[in-house]
Amino acid sequence: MRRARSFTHLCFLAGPAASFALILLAAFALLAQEKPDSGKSAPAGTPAESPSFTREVVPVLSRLGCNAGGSCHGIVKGQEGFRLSLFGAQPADDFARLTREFGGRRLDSNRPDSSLILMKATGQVPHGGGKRTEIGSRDYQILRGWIASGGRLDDAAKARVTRLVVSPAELILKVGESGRLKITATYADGTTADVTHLCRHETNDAEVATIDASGTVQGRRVGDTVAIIRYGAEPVLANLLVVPKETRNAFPDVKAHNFIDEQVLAKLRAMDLPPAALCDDATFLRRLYLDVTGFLPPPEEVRTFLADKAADKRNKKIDEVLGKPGYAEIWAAKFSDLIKPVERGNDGSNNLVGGQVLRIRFYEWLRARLEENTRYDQLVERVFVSSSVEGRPVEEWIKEFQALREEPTKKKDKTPGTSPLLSVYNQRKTLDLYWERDGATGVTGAMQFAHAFLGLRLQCAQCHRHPYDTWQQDDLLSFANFFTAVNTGGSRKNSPEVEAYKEKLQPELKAWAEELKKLSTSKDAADKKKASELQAKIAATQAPFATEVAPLNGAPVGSVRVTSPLGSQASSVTRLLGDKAPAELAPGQDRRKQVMEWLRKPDNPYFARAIVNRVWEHYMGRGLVDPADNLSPLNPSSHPVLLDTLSRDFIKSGYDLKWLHRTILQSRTYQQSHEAAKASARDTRNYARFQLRRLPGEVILDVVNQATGAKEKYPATWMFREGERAVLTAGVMVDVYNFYNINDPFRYLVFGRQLRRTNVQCDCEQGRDVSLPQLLFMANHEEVRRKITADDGRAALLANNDKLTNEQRIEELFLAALGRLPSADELKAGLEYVKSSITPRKGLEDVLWSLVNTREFQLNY
Amino acid sequence: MKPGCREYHRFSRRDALRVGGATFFGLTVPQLLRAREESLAVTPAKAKQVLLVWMYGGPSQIDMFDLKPGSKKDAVRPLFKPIQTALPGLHVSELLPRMARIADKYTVLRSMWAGSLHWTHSALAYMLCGNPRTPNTLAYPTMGSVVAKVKGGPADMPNYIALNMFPAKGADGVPGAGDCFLGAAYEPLVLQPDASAKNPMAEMLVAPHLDVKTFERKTNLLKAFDQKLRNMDRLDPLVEAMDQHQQKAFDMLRSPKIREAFNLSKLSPKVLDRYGHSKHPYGGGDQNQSLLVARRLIEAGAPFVHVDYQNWDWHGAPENVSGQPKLLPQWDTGMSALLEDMDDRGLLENTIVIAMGEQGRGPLDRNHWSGTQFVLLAGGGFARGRVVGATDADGMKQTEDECFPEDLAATIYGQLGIDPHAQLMANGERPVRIVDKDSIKVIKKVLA
Repeated sequence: MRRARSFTHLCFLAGPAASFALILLAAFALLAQEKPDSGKSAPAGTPAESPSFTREVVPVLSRLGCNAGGSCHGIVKGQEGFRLSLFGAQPADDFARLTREFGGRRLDSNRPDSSLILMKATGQVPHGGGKRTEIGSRDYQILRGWIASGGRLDDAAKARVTRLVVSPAELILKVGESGRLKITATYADGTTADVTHLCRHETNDAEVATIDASGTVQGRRVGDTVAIIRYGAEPVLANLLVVPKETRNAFPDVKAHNFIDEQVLAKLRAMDLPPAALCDDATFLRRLYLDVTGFLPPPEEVRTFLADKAADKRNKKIDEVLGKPGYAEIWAAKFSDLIKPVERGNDGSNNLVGGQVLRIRFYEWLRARLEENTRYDQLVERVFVSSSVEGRPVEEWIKEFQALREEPTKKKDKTPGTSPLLSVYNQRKTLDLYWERDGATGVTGAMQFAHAFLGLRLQCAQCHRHPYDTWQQDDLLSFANFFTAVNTGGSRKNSPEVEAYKEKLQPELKAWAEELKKLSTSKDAADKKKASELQAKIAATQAPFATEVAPLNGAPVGSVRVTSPLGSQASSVTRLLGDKAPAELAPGQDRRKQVMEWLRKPDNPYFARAIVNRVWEHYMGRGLVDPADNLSPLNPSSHPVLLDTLSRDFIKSGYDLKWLHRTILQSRTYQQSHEAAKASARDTRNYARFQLRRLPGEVILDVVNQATGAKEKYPATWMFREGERAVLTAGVMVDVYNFYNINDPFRYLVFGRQLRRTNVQCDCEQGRDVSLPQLLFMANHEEVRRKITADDGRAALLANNDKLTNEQRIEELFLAALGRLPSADELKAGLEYVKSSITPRKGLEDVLWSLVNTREFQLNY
Repeated sequence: MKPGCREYHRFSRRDALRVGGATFFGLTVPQLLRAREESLAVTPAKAKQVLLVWMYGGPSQIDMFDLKPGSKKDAVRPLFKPIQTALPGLHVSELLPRMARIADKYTVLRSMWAGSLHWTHSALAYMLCGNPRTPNTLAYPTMGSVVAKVKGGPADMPNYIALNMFPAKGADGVPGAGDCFLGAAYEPLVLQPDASAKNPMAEMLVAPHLDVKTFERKTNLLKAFDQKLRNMDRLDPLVEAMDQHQQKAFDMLRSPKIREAFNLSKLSPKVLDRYGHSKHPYGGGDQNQSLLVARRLIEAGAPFVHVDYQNWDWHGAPENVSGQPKLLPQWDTGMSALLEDMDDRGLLENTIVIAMGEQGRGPLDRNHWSGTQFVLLAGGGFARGRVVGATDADGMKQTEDECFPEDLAATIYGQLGIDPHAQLMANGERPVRIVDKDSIKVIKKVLA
């Protein structure tokens, strides 16, 4: 009973599944995995009388799991003395090990059934990996046939897979139905073959759909997942969508606000998942404020917004809130999560360049750019293609350098708000500190860049290809060669401009040196003073040169190198990720500009999508690609067309970040209630409701201060003034190695504040889960207790204000902490409590304690 | 390029804060329904509580409890002199005189291994969970999480406490033991043994200022305000975790038990000295005093206490030669004081004490080796004064009573009255056996 409907059949279908299928049209083209083609194809290859080692035997070993990592033979050391290349990526090596090692006993062409690999694979002799196949199975016959025919190695170059296609690329099944996938390989010699039976088949979610060894897919439960199919080392994937047998749930009549909703609703409809209703106004306002600014809405604004009868008041409010300083503060922290200003430092080594001041400047520079709503592509360019001199006259840079040097002395200024002392660096065009971070160049630099701006994880490619990704070691190394041409760190050289400037200074420096020499022999006190002044002047004049970040335009640089358990490797070419041909490096050119050019190509598959997906995740709780930092072709999006459209329109808008935020915020999908329709309660990936989330680490400290009316105090070394927002401290390095014994880091880390150190490349670093220490913190940490009971805190001030009734005081506390008015029952409970307390102030403090300990306070809902 | 062992420590330290703290069992109606389903797992128990001394890094079996002085190979013979113990036939290192004297209180299991030489450090989660954990397997819960989930304990005690640190996150091929499929609610609460004001966790929990009566009133008011975002259908794990953690937090704050367990200030110096001292190398507290705190937590009813006792990660003979004379006597003092003290107080009746690491030491080079290792077991129905299992002349391979982490876990669960083949729900949807292997054998010889 095969009633699978491949994509091509869909036009005959009516109903929601068909309309959703149309949405997938554009995605269809993306799914076939193209391999770089060798060009000329040879005539048909070896006839399949005896199985081919490279085309059949190695894939069978992959299919049976022999060459997997973990506890199998594909790990670097092999297993029980037998090693295979991971997933069969190097057939020639595998051939050598199979035939020559172990006295050749692994294969026996005279008595093929007695070959050790067959005895092991079928469990006839003890095998740590257990029984992998049956005697006489198709896999067995291939291995046996190859051994019986003499076990030869065929030409691996001809057998290289240039294209692997799965059809259909999108399979839509009803629950209980089955369908088949067919996998076709094209080889370097131009031949093609149906390799379905030679592949390893898996689905990402076996509860939604399963796939067997022959490529037959079974729909199990409504949902969507992917089939990951591997032929030898080559992976390919197919989208699987399992729809209900019949539509059972009434789909509410909801109106799309914009194209986002059209896409989201179409998929929900296809999957028979009714969406949640719109959330109420108070919820919307609180959600908007927390997500955009990291603050609660001011009490008076809650009142006016609730009273406002205008139909477009939500859209107006979105524009207004996006214009608040909190927006730039939150996103400067977010960008600090990505391009981390904090170095590893904590293990005692390589403690950050320049320390705290530089980290604060780094954050403040980003904040200023976001405040100006700098085009995203320009923002990245000004971060990445940065230099100290920035093409200005060198004297200007020297002047700036001296101004920056004097800044920290002004830190005694007690005015809260953004420090005026940070305005010098803010006004720089580029963020040259980017290149002063630990590991900003070479392979680590390429990995940092790929994570931050491309949404890619390349760590695995340092040693080998990751089983669920497409990047080879050579891709990473060739890309990393773009990251070598910057002069930074200890052995830096100056740019030609600065060299010329230094040259001009020589006579003066020489004269000073001579005068110093004369003065140093004098015993006169006045001369001694003069000498030390002169010495300081010389040092100050020379100081800038040791800090210059400059591109090594055209100067020859070596290739980067990685050392792993597999040996030491380098790539002699410089190549962009996904490009087939090496980049041409013109002499005198800044290599970084080539990377920027590539990022700006409208068809760049990562640059716009990475930021679009991250902004989406920020507001929706889950990326269109999840996790948000894994835009691998093998990690498909839940809504591919939506992601493409949003990315394309973002580029069209002129990389306007505010446009992106506004568009997402205006969608109905963002403004849904967290209460799901009953039939959609289990859905987690289709946006059938607003996803609850705990407030992020720094935000929770800010809103505790806001609700209690307290001012945050910082350790002196942090250089932050009392009352400044915790979000502004995103660049501060917290010493995790001592956090057991120090209260301050605890308060920041207990809610999962990111460390923002360059050596961790993962969006997962910021924990958003709930833990017992967090609940204990809110209930009984001395910091929270102090804020609630402070003499100048909100509860005390309300209690001391004689003009207010207890009713008004409780209302104010509700508005300040929860952004809404109390219900009649809540007001009654509060009033009774205050009345029966020793003093009204004590009672109000306990009301406030209760409010900050509600789920409502600690979650965004 | 690969910081290896060091990286592992760094991650686990950082993540120690992130993990939750097990909650107690059964609150809402659906929870009770689930409880009924799981209570099938509990049969009459011979033991009620567990104290696990986790010796991460691989304590050397051939220098501690499985000496091979008769080996023909120089490199296999013990680095330090063997001494006779109270148990005829058992010799231990001269660096363990106190453990030698009380060898009639515990059982030495010599024939444990993870079943393949590729494990080593990566067996960390395997040993703690009783199921092999790799990036490709389910995130099995540790024994402590299972106990917290299935049995629980007094409402005012954390169900699963880790002292000093807990290896929640893995790195570089060492899978972490945290983030299990039971959810954050069943992860251990990581505490430091010194309840000084400088320790934020202790400050919050010990709370000498707390007026219990006012606190009770406040929490009632909170209930009246907290009607929104209730998790009636238990579908949102975030709300569930929040409710459970808060309930537990409040119960602990209302009760004096945990405050007292951590308060060593009233004890005489004699008691403190009996346990001795040992500095935790990665920022935890005094490891030997942790054993004392652990004993007091067990006395107060904590169902599962994990003590992180570092650091056995010596690579090669020279590091063992210099490391053992420092660490072994410290551990000897603490471990023997713990067993004697618990025995004197009758705590060994109901409490299983386990001391183990994730691997042994290679007999020839004393480097990482998962072929053989020892496990120390006492109390809770385990035999007093027994040696079980044997290895060959060079300590390379089991020759008698070969057993695996699954078998050890099944034996411990059996004593606790938990059927190792009972099912838990993974990620709320998929039934998984507590010990997820068909053929498991209870190691009967180690039982009294």
